[in-house]
Amino acid sequence: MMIRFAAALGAALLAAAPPVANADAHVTIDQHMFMPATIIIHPGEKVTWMNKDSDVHNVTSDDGGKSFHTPLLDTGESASLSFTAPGTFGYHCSVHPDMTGTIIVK
Amino acid sequence: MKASFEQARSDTAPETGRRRVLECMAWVGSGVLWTVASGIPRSHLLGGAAEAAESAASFSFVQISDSHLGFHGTANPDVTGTLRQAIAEVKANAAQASFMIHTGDVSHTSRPVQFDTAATIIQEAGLTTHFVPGEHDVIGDAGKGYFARFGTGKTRWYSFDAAGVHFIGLDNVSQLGVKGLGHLGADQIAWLRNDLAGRSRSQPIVVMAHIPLWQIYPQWGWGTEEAAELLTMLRPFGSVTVLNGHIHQIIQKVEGQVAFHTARSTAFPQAAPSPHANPGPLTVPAGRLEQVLGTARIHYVPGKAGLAIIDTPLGA
Repeated sequence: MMIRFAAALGAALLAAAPPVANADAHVTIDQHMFMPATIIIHPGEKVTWMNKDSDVHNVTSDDGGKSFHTPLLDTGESASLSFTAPGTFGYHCSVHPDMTGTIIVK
Repeated sequence: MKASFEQARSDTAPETGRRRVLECMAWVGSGVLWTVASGIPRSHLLGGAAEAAESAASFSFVQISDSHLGFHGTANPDVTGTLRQAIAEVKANAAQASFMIHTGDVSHTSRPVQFDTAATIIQEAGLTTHFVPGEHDVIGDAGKGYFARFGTGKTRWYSFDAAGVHFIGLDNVSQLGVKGLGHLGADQIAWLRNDLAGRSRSQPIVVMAHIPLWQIYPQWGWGTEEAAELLTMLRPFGSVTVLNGHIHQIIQKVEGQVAFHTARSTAFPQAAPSPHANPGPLTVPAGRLEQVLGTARIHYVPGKAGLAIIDTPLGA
């Protein structure tokens, strides 16, 4: 199952319609880890998380999910977020707080 | 899964005061009987004379936890089957139990079919069941499906009395803490303070919640933010038993007259806390799964102010 939606990231709301992503970044979730833990993208690009773990996980921004969050992803499910504004965004799995990652948009 | 209790506190004072020895017993046979006399837990192996002594005029209830219906990983390809087995074993002894509690994670991903299948199986035990939610029950739809089926009404927390024991069911998963810890929130804390106010200090208290109400391993979110405040509220009572799930293994601790205990899952085990492990579903060697799943039975003996906790693996 693919879950697609765009994150409303602060100033991103004020930006024009997001440009078509010119590259997709992929993060694999497995063994209770986000891999790679840090990923660098350009504004307007999309990150897709694929859960290959036997446990369920989500992606929740470190401000308590206010900036962005995904639904709970079961094994084999994925979700994508588009990041339009530059910045460094830490995130974690709200169910498993030891799982952390960072998206750098520049 | 270790074959012995993870933690014990030994106070070597003689049994003349309110504080006695908490003995740590190795698993032999089907389980260990925990007796809480005047609020002080003791343990002894099942099948002994003490077990027989508990049988007269006692009140007991069953605890099951962490069914995770909808899980389909290698740690247990058939969580529906192991829940069904657990319930069959509960039903076989249902005449001895007044009711059952489920300490959360009925479902794996909060989906209606998972709740409905679990409810159908659980009711086969023939026991009224009191539920508290786990984070897996509320994270998919903010608790809508769970509370529609298993909720008690206006609030997500509740209390009731049975056989002189005061039972409190708490929700520490609907608003998880920033670091994934359990969180009760100001409204629930205020309700609990009011619920305990004026209550006789000699009345036994049983508190149920999904995530452990003490700090076991905060790095994995195995604790509750308001644990210290909660303990302060419970400490004046002479007999307090706190029953949790979430960590899929038996860990216990005693603080004064407050005994904390976590139950096994009916679905899959998890690793013991360690910086070298992760809290995901743990796959055990073939043929070992039943031994690391199970249920618990809690006894209260009127007049003794005593509770006892018997943890029993599946198939025992």
